Amino acid sequence: MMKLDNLPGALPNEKIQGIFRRHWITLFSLFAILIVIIILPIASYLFLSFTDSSVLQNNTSLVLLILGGSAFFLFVILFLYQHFLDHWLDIWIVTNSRILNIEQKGLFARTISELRLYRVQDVTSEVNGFMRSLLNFGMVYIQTAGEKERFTFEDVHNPNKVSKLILTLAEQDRKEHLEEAIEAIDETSLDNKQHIVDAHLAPHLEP
Amino acid sequence: MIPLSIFLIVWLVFLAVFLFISALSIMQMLRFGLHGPITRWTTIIYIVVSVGIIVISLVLLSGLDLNATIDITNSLGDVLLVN
Repeated sequence: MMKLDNLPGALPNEKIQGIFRRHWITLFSLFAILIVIIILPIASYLFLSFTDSSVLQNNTSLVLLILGGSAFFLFVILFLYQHFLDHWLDIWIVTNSRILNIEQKGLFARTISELRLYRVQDVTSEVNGFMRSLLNFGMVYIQTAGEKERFTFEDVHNPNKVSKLILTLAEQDRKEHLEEAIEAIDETSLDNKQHIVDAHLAPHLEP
Repeated sequence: MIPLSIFLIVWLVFLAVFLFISALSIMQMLRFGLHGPITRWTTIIYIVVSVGIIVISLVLLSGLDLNATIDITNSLGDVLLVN
């Protein structure tokens, strides 16, 4: 098991400030459907036992019912566990110097991405929709210096609080890594300048 | 006429696939899950429920005659006649 005091690529004096997962309600919707699916065969069995009990006394029917029923329930519990695994192993860890995004994709694919806090430029929280507003969960988008893709926390609880935490920690980390932060910002501005030059001058330079 | 043991063999194949995927899932959970009670207890519950389903099925099957045969044509005929 992964221990929090032994994070992948741990830095000196690194302390965990927050661990975030998708909101539990994202799991609940699937569990609700599965409860209905589980109730269906039990209801069918009860219906048969009250209406046509001869089916349940027949050796052949019973064998087929037991084999089919156990295969069904084993499949359901495996599906539930797989889904929980996918939910539980997706995790965002915020420390005082970086953000770790650990994502499980299916059974065999796993992505771990890391972002240094001093590179964070912009954090956006978004609560969109009825359920999200009601239960206060949503997305947190983190824009970094020099990177086009955004780092995203999906369906985390209280995204506004999370974004404030990240901004505060990023501010503190920038003070500690002032030189590296300036370099990162310079790189970004240089990149941006290059893009502007390419976009505006290149068409005129073509023969 | 199909012997019921054929269905048992199909079930055993399904069980082997189930056990293989379960072993992989549990291994992933124990390797990458955060150290804590939820990781441990969900895995224990999963194992206990799975073993429970398998054991109950085997106990129920032990009291039944698996050497009997099923006549698919008659069974289908009965179903069609009923409907």
